Amino acid sequence: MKQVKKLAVILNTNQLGGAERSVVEQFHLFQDQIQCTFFVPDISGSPKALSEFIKQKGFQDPVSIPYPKFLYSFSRSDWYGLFLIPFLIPYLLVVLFQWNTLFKGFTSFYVNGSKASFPVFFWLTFFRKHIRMQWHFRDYPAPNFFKVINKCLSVAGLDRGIIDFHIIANSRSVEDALKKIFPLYPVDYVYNLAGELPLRSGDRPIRTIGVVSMIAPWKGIHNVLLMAGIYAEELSELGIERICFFGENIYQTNGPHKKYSDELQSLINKFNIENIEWRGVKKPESIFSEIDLLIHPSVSPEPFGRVILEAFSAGVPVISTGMGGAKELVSEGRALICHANHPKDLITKIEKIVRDHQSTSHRDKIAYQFSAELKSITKSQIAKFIRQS
Amino acid sequence: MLLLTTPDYLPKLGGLTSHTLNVEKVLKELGVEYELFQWNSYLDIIRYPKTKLAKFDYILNIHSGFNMFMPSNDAKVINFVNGAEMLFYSPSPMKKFVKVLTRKFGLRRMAHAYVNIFISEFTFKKTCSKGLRGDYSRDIIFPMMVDTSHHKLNLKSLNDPLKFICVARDVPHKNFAGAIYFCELLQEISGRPVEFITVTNKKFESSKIAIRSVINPSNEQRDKLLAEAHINLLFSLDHSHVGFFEGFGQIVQEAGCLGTPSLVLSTGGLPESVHDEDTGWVLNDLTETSIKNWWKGMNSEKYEKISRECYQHTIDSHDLKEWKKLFKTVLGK
Repeated sequence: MKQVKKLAVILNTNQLGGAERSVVEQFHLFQDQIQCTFFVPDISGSPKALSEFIKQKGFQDPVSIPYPKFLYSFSRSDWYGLFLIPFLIPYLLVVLFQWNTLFKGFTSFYVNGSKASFPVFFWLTFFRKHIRMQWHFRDYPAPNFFKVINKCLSVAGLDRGIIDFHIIANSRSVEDALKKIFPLYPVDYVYNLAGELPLRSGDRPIRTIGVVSMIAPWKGIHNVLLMAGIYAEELSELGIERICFFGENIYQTNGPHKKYSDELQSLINKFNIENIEWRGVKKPESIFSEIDLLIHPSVSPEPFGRVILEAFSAGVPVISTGMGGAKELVSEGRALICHANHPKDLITKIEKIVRDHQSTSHRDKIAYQFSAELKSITKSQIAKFIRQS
Repeated sequence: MLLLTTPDYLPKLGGLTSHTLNVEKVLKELGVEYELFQWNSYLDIIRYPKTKLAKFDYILNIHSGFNMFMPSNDAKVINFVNGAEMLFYSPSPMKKFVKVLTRKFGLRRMAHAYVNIFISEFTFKKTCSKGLRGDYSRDIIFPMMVDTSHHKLNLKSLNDPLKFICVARDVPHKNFAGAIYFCELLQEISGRPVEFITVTNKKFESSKIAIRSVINPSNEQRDKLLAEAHINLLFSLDHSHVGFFEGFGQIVQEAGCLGTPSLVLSTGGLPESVHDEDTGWVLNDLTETSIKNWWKGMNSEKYEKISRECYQHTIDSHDLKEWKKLFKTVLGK
């Protein structure tokens, strides 16, 4: 009888974001081979959307695990976060004792993101040695912070042999960054998966522009608004009727994103920017059946850019700043690349997409093919990790 | 009614004068009524009559460093933030002391501005690192624009004798020494004669390469030299610790509209001005390895492609008409 592996997938958050969709989609491909249970941290915010998505994909209800909220700040900090360690350890130990019961019977652990990884790493080290831990980084590692952590682990003798540690990046760009920080551990990458999305008709005119991201400054939303304000006439001449923003501020930590939504609204009011719609969080199927063009305006390197892949799957043309891991998706003629913080370059690229129908069609075909091929590539990569676990 | 303030104007030449002239051109085209106020020191600003200020709806500061000294008024303040003026540094200990002392006051003035226009993200982040709390409803990043009305695609062939040019003031952070080193090394590795054209206020010499020093040419003469050169070099160093960095590198666009791409160092706002392998090249450093690798990747076809891209991008996206649109939005015209 084929032995079904029992895998604990520990999520970073109780909110349904791109990273959560991706990991659920990944393991959905292997439901006949592994018994997968999702664990969701018990923090503020409703986990309803996430739970529903997990159940929709055929998995059992996710299990809530106790999780200290301040670990969010710790994991998002740079070197100064290290000063929190003496205060965190006692708190952590209390939580980790509670985990013993919850994780009984699982043969390997897949941790989706850094916030969950630290407690899991320590729990496995102290309570369950020689278990495989696969740490899937969903973002670039804070270099100074992780270098010091790596050093501390090495000094304490906790870095090797105690747990079977495997690091997974979500793009080659993140993989390169991780290899520099963790030279002694195996590091691989696997691209996120987009779900099945209805294909947009190429004959449909481009009327609605979409921006799909969390509301945070590094996502460059202000630049799209600025472009819309300065080049309102040009957008109108192109037949663009609206620019829709899908997403919200999903972080629960302090930072530059905290007042960003208010600043964006003030910018709209100050320059009388019209035809802007804030649509909140919507499912990808709903977003990509509505929009005709996706703008990905990030001003910082993106670890991946799942939304770009979703657009490719849905046959929606893409304009991206192509920074970081996103460059791996939008290169090879699959999308138009625009310069960050350059409203004129952005409107020039929009004009190109709208007016040059033939090139746009051709680009969309290449992009769609790429998204289809990626699914089988990702599947074989995840299969390898499961075999190794 | 708008008050346009600037530290530099004709007959004094330089980047800020060009910037001011360009802004003036745009304001005229928009039909904005304005007055120009050129100041030489903060005392000039402090002494500006408050009664005169009252008639202005907007104050547009080309150099925002000293705007804190303007008597307060009801006008909406728009600051162009070019870069180094936000470092609160001066080679004069007394001036430095005053700048550091008044830093918070200056930043508060910036925080109360109607709009701050930063010419690069680097400049924006640098200003934030000095204490400005960024606000995306007030702080705009908008690339530098230049007058491209005289644009012409002057295509050169890499098979011709190589010519490089550097147009800048002779100050340490502009790194003429680095440019000379580059040219000397390139002559050695390429086996081809290299001519280096310097456009500044001083003569340079080298025992290895031919250097043509042109001192204080007119704009037309300068443009002719830019058009003649294969590549414009700008290896500016980040000397933030002594008050200098390259906010954007206006000369990149001035060369670009003549079909001359730029090769720059990855410092300051230069990587935002030159789009690597698209409209020019960005080197991480000036080591022998970097220069050799750059030359290894060069060929006539690539050079021509980048020259064309650079030219087209400059005239499409960096012409003064984009400022016209920006000001139209900001001034609500």
